[in-house]
Amino acid sequence: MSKKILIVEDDQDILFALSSLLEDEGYTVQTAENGLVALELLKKSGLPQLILLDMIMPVMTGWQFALEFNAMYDHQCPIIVMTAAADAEQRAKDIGAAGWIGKPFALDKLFKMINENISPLGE
Amino acid sequence: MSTDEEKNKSEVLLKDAAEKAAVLLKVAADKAAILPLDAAKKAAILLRDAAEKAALLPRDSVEKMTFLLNDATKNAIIILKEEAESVAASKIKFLDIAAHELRNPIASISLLLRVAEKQIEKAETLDADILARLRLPVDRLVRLVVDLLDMSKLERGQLSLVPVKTDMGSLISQCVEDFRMQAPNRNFVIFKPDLPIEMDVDPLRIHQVLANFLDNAVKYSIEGAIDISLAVMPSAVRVSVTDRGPGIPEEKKQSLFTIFSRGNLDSTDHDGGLGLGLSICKGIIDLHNGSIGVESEAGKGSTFYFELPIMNEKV
Repeated sequence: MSKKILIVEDDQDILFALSSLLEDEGYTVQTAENGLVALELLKKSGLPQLILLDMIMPVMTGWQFALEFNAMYDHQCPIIVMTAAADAEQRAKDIGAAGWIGKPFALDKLFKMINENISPLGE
Repeated sequence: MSTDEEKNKSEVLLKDAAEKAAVLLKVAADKAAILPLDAAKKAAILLRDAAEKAALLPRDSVEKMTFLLNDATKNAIIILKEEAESVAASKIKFLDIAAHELRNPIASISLLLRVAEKQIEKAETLDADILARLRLPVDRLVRLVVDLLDMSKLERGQLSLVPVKTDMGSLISQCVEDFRMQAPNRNFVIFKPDLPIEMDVDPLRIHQVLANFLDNAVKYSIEGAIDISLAVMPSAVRVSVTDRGPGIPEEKKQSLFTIFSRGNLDSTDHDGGLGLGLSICKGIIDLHNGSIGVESEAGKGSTFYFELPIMNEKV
């Protein structure tokens, strides 16, 4: 069984490209276009091993999502913040994220960060 | 004149001067809001004028007036400081949004290119879908960069017009035709006189303004016809675009055409761009010695218009 990553991101092109690239790396990928969709998805299909989270999204921002998520699941799954916002590092700290990466990012750097933070299977 | 009469007269004068100073300060503060860079200078001139007027008052009033002016100056400084801070905050916010708007399409392009490279490595072919997907963020970047360059030229006073004798009716029809293709499901209705209306304008720039109005009308009204009208008034030609969208609240109207104060600077809407469009439009119409504005009532749609003077000698 492969490890599962949830990408929460409103940019359809980034969602499409990242899914394809992460699947090539052997991960199972789930996607949600905003925080609300992500929360519903988590209720239905359980926790992934890692969440890649965009911050500025319509309907429910990454920040709002993280607050709800941490309250419901108590940091059970590492979050990597993936944002084009200027204050990315602070935002990541605020929500207790495992790490952050600024857009545009080098793919190798993202893969390395995922590798270092992703939960082992069966936890 | 009795002492009482003198006292009364001096009080009236003092009250009058204080009221005038208040008006001047209000004007200074308003100017500060519009022209933050020059504001301090302008406020200083206005205060000096007020002081000169105060010097003409009876001697016993002068002391009181000086006190009032000192007080007013302190208040003016507070107002200017707050305004400067708010402008600085807006600029930072604008830069954040600009960076955000630029970084997202670059991230898309970079990732999509990687997907394309992988496809070619694996199968030696490329899905047409990838190329179509690349087109969108590239177009978005081009639009942003063009807007930033226009704004920068306007701010430095380096945007120059290339005026040509132009039939306004044909210009409008041509611009609307472009939009019919871009938004085929929308109903564009043109109202214009049958006779040609020739004016000395920069047709590309006027086209840009009208396209911006039409783009906004399509973006902010989900349905309903969009009316484009060309009307000849006694001293000006008026072009307007009316949509049947949600309208614009009174408090947002003022700032629509001002740089750094986009109505939805806080919005998370990716397609919102930088909000430079209408500021650029205002710059272009100003260069034509015309005027630009919006009429709108919440819930009843909006009419964006510009008016170009018929005797347009200066352009």
